[in-house]
Amino acid sequence: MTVGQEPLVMGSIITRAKKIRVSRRLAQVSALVLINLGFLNIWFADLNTGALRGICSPIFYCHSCPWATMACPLGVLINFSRLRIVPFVTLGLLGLVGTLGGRLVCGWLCPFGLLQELLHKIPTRKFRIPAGLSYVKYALLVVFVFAVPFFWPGAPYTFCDGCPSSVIESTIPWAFVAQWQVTPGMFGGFTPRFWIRISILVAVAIFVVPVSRGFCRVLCPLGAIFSLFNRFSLFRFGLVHAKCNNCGACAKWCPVDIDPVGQMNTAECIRCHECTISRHIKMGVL
Amino acid sequence: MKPAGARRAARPLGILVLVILCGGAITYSVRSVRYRVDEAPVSEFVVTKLSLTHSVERDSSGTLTNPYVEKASVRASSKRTPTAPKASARKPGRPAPPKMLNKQAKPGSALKKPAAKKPPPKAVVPKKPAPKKSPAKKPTAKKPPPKKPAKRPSQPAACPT
Repeated sequence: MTVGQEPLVMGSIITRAKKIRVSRRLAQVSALVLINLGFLNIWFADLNTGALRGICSPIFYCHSCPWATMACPLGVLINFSRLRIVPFVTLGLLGLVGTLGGRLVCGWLCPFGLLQELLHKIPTRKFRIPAGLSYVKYALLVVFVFAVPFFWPGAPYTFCDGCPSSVIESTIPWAFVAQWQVTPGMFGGFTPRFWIRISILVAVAIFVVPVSRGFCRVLCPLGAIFSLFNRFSLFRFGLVHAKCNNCGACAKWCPVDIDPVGQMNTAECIRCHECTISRHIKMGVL
Repeated sequence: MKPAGARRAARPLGILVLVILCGGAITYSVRSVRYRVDEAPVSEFVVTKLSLTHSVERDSSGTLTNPYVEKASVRASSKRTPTAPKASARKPGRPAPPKMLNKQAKPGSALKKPAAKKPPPKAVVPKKPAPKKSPAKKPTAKKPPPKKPAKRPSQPAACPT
């Protein structure tokens, strides 16, 4: 590269970065709108309880949200564990999505991921977390999604009971829906349980401000499911050897603090495509 | 150690097997899997939908039930109490019905649950009855019980978590 070419290269990188980030924001917002089609309930009655609520979306989103179009995969897994029946459709759907793109959903469609990225923009001191913490999400998946509802069906200690996403999408909205306040036992107002859930949300929000995508990396059981497929999914990243000069730029952009060259397609990669800005890494089929 | 070609071929094969397995699971569920909820066969989609509002659970016998639908025992109690028909209506040669133990019983009084409170005595001034906890369980003789299982008014539209 000659001296005169540097601004041109930087210019192309910035343009590419903008392109990827704008596309990703568009995808995240579109997913948020699509899984909230219940707002059309204002004009089309019964859409909120329509047929789509019987199918889970592959996105981490609470189905108890007044506007939710589809069911939450984690919620369905928990409910089916409680009933002790096999959720064939949910497992099949998650398997298909995972086989096709791994954690592509985490990077491009998850609304809670979008919220984390926005919170991470708050100017504070940022720090990295130890890699070992990423195993917590697998423990949460096994214990609070499968084991607890299976062995103690009546116990209120499943993942849903502490889910920060459901606090935003369900607990807070329902707190302001008068219908629920006249239904005894369902929502008793601002109870201690309500405040416990709010404090969980606040704790997670405080955690993700300095730690980029902290919830996805440490706590998300759905991310744990998709990460099992990351190594061998159909769409995956590949290194363009001819272009890579080990500059380390891709590692700087990575939101989950991995080295995309050394740890390409590992379980922690959320397939956000930030590393492809440097043009040394490309996503392709097989 | 496996040769590179075999390793390279294993991945597409694994993906193909996974896609077939996952697609097969969905197809199998849609075509064949039916669960009995309140004696009615329902698909997995319906169970999923019911589970969102906690409207399906396992009872002590292990069967899936909807706690918001009235039980079959209540529906079966809509049989009329055998009362003595009019003498003119009785066919000749047919024996008279057995003498009723409870003479105060009216047609439809068997609808009341045995554990329910005693019926109020015949008062001179008709008082406004106390609000019942489950009106569908105690239909009166004047008001026949609904054919379809009545739903409780408190059935939730969504899980309030």
